[in-house]
Amino acid sequence: MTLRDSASERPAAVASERPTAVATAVATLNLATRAELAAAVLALDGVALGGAVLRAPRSDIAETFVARLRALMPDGAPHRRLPFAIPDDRLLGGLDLAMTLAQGRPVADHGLLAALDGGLLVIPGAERIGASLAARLTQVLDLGHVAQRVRVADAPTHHAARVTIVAIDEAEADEDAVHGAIADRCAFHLLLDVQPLPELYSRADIKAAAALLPHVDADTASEPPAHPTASRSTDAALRTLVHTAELYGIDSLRAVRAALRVARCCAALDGRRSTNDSDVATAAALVLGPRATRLPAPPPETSAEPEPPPPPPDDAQNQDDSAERDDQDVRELEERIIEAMAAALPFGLTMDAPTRTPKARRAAGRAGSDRSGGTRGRQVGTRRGDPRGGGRLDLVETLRAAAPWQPLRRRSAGATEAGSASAKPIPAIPARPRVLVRPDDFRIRRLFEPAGTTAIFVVDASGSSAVNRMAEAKGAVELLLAESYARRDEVALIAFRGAKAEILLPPTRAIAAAKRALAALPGGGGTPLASAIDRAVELTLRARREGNDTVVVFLTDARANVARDGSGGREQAMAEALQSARVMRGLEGQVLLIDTSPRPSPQAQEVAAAMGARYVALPRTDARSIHAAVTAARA
Amino acid sequence: MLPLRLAFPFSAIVGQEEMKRAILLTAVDPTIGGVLILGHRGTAKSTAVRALPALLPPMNVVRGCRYGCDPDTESRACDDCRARRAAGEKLRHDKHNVPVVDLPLGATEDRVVGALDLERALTRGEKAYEPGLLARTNRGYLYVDEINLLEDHLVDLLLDVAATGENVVEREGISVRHPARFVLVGSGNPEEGDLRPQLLDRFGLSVEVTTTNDLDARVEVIKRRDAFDRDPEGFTAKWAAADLDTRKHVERARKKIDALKVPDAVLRDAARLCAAVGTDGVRGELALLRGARALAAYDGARAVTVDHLRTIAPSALRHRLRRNVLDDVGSSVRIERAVADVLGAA
Ligand SMILES: [Zn+2]
Repeated sequence: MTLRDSASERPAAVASERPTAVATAVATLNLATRAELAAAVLALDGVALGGAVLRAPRSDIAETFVARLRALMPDGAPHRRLPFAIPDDRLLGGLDLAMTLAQGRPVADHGLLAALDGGLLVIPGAERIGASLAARLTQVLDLGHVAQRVRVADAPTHHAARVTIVAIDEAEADEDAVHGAIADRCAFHLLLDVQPLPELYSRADIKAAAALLPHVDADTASEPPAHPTASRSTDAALRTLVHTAELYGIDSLRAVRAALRVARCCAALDGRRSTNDSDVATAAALVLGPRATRLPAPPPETSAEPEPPPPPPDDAQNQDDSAERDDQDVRELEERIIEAMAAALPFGLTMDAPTRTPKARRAAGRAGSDRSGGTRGRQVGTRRGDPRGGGRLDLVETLRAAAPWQPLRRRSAGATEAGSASAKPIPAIPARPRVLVRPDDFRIRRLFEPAGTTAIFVVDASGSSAVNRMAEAKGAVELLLAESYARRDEVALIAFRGAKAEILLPPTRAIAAAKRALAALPGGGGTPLASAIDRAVELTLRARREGNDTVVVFLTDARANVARDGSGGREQAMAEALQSARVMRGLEGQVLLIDTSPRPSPQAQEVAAAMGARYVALPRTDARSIHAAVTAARA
Repeated sequence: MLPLRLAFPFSAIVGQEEMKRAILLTAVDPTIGGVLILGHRGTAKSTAVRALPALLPPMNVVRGCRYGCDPDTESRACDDCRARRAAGEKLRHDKHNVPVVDLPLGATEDRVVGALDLERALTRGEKAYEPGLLARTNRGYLYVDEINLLEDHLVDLLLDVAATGENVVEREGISVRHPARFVLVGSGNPEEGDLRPQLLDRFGLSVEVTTTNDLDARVEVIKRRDAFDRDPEGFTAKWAAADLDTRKHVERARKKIDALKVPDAVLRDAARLCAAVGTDGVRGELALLRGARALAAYDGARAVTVDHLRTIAPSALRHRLRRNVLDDVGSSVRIERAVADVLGAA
């Protein structure tokens, strides 16, 4: 194994401080040093690498990273923070209100992203970004430009918008993380702690590295490297990175591509024209490490290994040697990467196959919540109205309404120069506006009305209920899911058994996820009814915050026998259940309790009454009659 | 004008045969209808369609026409071109690349269909029509990434225009209609919410894209992408010959397709297949037959055979199956079974 790291090629003065000089000790780099290295790499190649997702214990710590990145990016590079409720015409461009009114002709505003070309977009509270804003941002990240949204004569149809983003993830531990479409495009997922970033690089270093970067590994494909062990062809590095991604359960090819670029950036920052093992290991640790979803499985028994394919008939002799050496190299590099990765892995990884569902569920839940608007309602049209009444003015539509009247109004405005009350222009414009707009012309945006419904199913999977009706309940929920799908409702699923209730599926419109969660639902154990109602209250509140209506459907025999703390005891369990039920009633939503006992149970009726729920006893329950009851209740 | 980034060459796309085929077949016969590309994050759903302008044969466009009319098909000319011809003008033309218009998310309906020309209205008090994105899309492709996030009314509108080939604008006292024949290509991530079943049915073909698990293929995907990122011009030049070969195929297929016969036996098989998988309506059958015919033309076959049906059936039918949540079997598998039952083994 080569540890020499081509020290002779590196300027001696800085060698001892630079991360790459730490050679194999990438694993020992602390969070701050990794962040400094990431900042340098982003300053160097940020547009291609997307940016960074940042988690920090406090927002001022996240800001130290932003400050560092700005200090390394070219002087004067633009920098903005993304306001959370930014309308499309500010983000992607629209009409410039003041200029249009002053000049009497449409003047385009190219929007925030075009203004940030070559600069930095900081997104505080990035976990709040929903699917539609994420899609808008990623479209621009992918294309590197925004399309002109309002046609203005002689204006180009596109504006460059090559931005680097820093998404600050301020989510609590149990909340959703930054939207997958954004996270996937950000090369770095960084954790910060209280340590200040060591200032290892200067703007001049970045500039020098930028000049070198296009030449790094530029011709390794055609020429064998001069020092086979010190430098590494793109091919070998790439194979290793792809393999590493597979070992650690990382699906995204984009991440591997980013790692390859980061390795080259490391070489350039180190003043070299070719990447070495240390660069590849550093890049793997920085880019792939935080994305790992599992630990590599232990190597398989040699006997279990499939027989290697026979070598190709010709050239076999020649290739044997070099192939063997390559193999050796690749193995050594892999060991080194695994070592480097170890320090960068997320907590709580296991050797199990990666579970893909949680990620999918997260994304799915977000798509639904975003659709219903809330803070980011999307426009579906305009209506006449006064913006001072709280509505948002739609400038284009307002001007369209005003436009046909301009010649007439100019004539009459000239006649009554003093200004009649009815011709009162809106205040913020110059004394003699070029466009005469009257209150009649005002058009208000009609925002998307959140007509969405979240159906929350709370399924009793305890022993007593399972014996009775588990299969029917599952069947009914599946029918209701199918219907929710057709209505484009969101569905959520809570199951309760044993010690406490569990949210199996947060609100989603992806029916496949709901089906999987349901199929995997086991039965048996106690009946923690209070905990189940608590979870249902929680999801109801969450759905309301997104602006959705809710309908909660309990399928249970209500034989509560597990208290909130997980202890047994019918009396305590029932008292707590009734207490929770009253909280549920306070929400005044639609609630339905389907009694799954063989004959109507007084307990279930009592709980239903306490919740303000419609009670349905179904002595001969089958999936279809449950379905019919729920449909009737919702109508 | 900002030079837009070069598109990754079509021929350099690794694997994804079903997607490439669907896109090419719509180039041979645009009446097949739109293409829906479903796949997870990072599966390069947009690559194939964005590669089309460089891949497909350039087209003749009437000089000065805002709708990109074809000088050779007068029947589909816009009102402007008709008026110019009627006035005795000899229309000249230029060569243009096939347009592929990216519908920006958040595009307003105005920008899509066109609207009152604000400039002229404000400065001259004139009512004039300002063409929208659909005008630029005529005879090309409209690409909508994350189509499941587009407002339903816009998706409806796009599908309506795509089906009729005409954009009709009636608003603000403007009354305009202009040709807008295009192939709608939508992509989406099925985990991020489903498309309404009524909309699914209106796409001619659908394809599922996945990332390969094969190490060599994954390496090759990134290697090509990386080579392209480092030197877009050089990389594109390297693949130009392969792209040209594909272009020739498309051109040949376009010439052949009108003469291609669909034997009665194949028509019957197509009907039986649709009945077997239970697709309602004629849309599925039409897409199946048109797809099979375009495939036969692309392959240089003398006639459409049952093999062409077999190949195209998953793309033409899988998105039309009625969703059965109680059945765990995926759509593709259901189609394959029906194909084996009805058409026999390959
Ligand atoms: Zn024309």
